[in-house]
Formats: sequence, C-alpha cells, structure tokens
Amino acid sequence: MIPAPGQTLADIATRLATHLLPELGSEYGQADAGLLATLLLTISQDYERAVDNRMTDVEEMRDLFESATGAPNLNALLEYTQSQPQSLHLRDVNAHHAQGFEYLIELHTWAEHHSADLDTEIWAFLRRHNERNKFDIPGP
Amino acid sequence: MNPNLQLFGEQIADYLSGVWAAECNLETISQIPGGASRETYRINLKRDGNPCGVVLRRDPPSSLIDTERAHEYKTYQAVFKSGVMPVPEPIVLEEDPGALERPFSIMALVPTGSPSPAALDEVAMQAAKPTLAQNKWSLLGKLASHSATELGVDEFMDTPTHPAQRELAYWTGVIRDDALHPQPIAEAAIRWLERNMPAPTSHLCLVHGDYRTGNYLYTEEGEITAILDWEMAHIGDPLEDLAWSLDPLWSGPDPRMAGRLIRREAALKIWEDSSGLIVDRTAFRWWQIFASVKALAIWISSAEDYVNGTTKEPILALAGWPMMDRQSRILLDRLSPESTNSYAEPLL
Repeated sequence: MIPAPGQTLADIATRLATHLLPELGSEYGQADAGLLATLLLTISQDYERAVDNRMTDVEEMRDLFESATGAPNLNALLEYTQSQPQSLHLRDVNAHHAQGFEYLIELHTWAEHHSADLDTEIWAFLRRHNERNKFDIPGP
Repeated sequence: MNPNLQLFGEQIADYLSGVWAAECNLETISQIPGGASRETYRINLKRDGNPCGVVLRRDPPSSLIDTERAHEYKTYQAVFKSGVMPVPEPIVLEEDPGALERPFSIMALVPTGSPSPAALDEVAMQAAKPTLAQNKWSLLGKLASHSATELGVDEFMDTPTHPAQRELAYWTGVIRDDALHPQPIAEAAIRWLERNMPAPTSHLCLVHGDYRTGNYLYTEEGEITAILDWEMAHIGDPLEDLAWSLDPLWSGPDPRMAGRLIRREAALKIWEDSSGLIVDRTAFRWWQIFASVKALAIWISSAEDYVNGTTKEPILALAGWPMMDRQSRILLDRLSPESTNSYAEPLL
C-alpha cells in the first residue's frame, strides 16, 4: 500500500492539470478538467485531516458544553460529552460531529441572550473550526 | 468536432429554420464552460447564407440554482426592451422538451467580451479597470433608478411588501432544507439578520440577483457588452444587488477589492452617483451579511444537489467544499466579536 492517499490524490490532480488538460481540444473540456483537478486537490487536503478535525471539534465542543451552566437541555449536552462515535470511519465520526453541532446551535442561540462570555467562546470555537478546515485553493 | 455535438448543432439549426422561416445551416458549435445552472452552447450558423451567432441555454437534469427558465427569459425580454442595461437579444423560449430533449432558450450571440474573473488580474486589463468599474456600478445604479413598473417586470414577478424579510425567509429555507450537515455559522448569521431586520424599502426595483464578476462580458477597453445570468432576478431592494456585487468572495487575490476592480467605497460612490440614491449604511450592513448567507445557501444547495441529484458536475461538489469554507470565513470575520478581519474588511 501507499500510506499517503491524500498526497496521491494531490499528485493525480497535478498530473491532470499539467499533462491531460493541455491535451484537451475544447474550451469546455479544458474547463471541466480544470475543475476536476481542483476538486481532487480539495479532497486531497480534506482526506488526511478529516477525522482528526472532526474529533478536535468534538473535544472542544465538550468543553463548551461542560461550561454551559444554566443552559436548557443541559442533561443532553452533558450526555453528549460522555459519548463517542460508533467507529472512526468518517461516516460515523461525521454523524457524531453533526449531533454535537446541533447541540451547539441550540446552545449558541441561548448564549446570545444569557451568557456573553459563552457567546464569545462559541464564536472563538467557530473560528478555530473554520481555520482547521480551511482549503488552500484559488478563489472564484 | 464531437459527432454528438455536431448532431445536436444540426438539430438546433433545423429548429431555428422553423422559427425564422429561413434556411439555417450549422457552421460551428461549442459548449461554453461555467454554465452551472444550464448547459450553454455557442452556435455559429448561416441564416439564408448570412453569418449568425446564437447562444442556447438548455435545462440540465440537475442545476446549481432551482429557477424557472420562463422567468429568466421574460426578464431578458424586459431588460432588452428597456435598454437600461446591455443584454443579449432573446430569440426564442422553447418549453416543450420534445425539440431538444429538455426545455431551452436561445439568445443572440454577443460577439465581443469575456466573462473571465481571473483575466481581470492580467496586465492587459490593469489600465481599463477604473473604466470597467465605472461601467459596472453605473449600470447597476441605472437599473436601481428604474422602478419595476417602468421595466414591466411586475407583470410576471411578485412585488414583495418586505423584500428583506422575504429574501431571508427564502434562503433560510434553502439552508435548512438542503444542508447535509448542521451549519452553526449560517444559523448564527440568520439569527443576526432576524434581530437586525431593516424597515421595508420604499424604493422597489428589479434586482438582478447575481450581479458579480463572471456574470458580465467585458472588453479590454473596460466596456461591458452584456449582463448575463438573470435567473435569480426578482423585485426587491436595490441594496441587495449592491451588497452582493461587493461581497469579498468575488474580490480575487486582494480581499479589499470589489469584484477585483476597485475599493468598495469607490464602487459604492459610483452606484450612488448613477442611481441618485443615498445608501442607508445601517440597511446596507444588513444586506452585506445577507449576501454571504445567500451565497452560503447556494453552496449548500449545490452540495446537496451533487450528492442527491442526477448530475455529477464537479462545480457542484466544489461549491460544497472551498466555496462554503470561504463564505463561512467571510461571515466569521464580519460577525464574531474578536474578529481580526483577515478575510473580509469590517462592514461598510
């Protein structure tokens, strides 16, 4: 096996962009190949980090939930802090992460009116989450 | 030429022979890239022996934005008739899928101009940028200066009593219906928009709905030869188009630039001079946040379409990754209390 599938995807994207794309005759074909190369590059960037990033989010959400004294649905939040994804397959990690995000949305809505500190902490978490999942891809 | 494309082009020529009661023969046909909402083809014909170019837009099995082709076509007709902005001349709308398997519309080919956002950064365009910016925001201001009734679009478009409320409700619905994963940044922005809803505007006009780099044709002299992609057009608040056109997503490498051309304040001044309207800064801030939420809704919807729809266009999948990432960053920069404004400058 090649233990670096993310890098391999990036290599395929480069190969597509530098070797195959220039050989294509039509403007449409070239544009489509360019999009496919960009898509492969995007996936290559997410591939290696996806599970780690979701689990880091989950850990940080646990901290937020544990500090959410007075929040409605606190029992569910605390229960979430004790739970784990069914496996480390990405689909299971995503499902667990999605549940955390649902709780986070509820908590953020509450914090906006009841806890300025928690509101600020949630925004800070969202910025870290976004930074972790940033793509290094040219814009539109 | 691709034999399937050649055959398709000949079918179009036959169809136009019937429409024009003239002899039409195919010369060339090519598919235009970037038509995420419709398949788009450039066709050169001989019409009774004379050169004639058309552009055909055909419904795909799945698209980036769910829109009605008749709505877009009627908008092109209204704008073309008014002359308020340059648009391609609409030729025919065919809603019967029998002719070319799926409904389509045909417009006259605009012979000059490029839509390329990236080409705006090339050396050849640097001198023309101020002229292009002047034209871009003057035209938008001109559109804002005409009422929906003057343009006749209120004959087939709803007239909202509260445009901001209506737009927010619609795009919030798209996010909640189509999100493949919960969206805490979008939800926080929606709550902000609900808390800060502006009063309904007293100035209703035709809103293009996607007035941005990539949706107009320009020349190296800075002239705009056509405004394209009217599928999201509606009657609403003119600040909606202005805010959308200034969103940092369209800025290119320098996030301070509006549409890769000039600083936002300068663009806003051109628009004010042209429209005769003064921008209400409080309402405009609302529309700036709204622009990012609407864009996020489109990317979310595209990702859903890629996963659950029948078309596997790579642009739909890309919308779900880097585009959502960027748009979320813009919202975070603008709304989070300790923002460093590294990606989007503070609201105007």
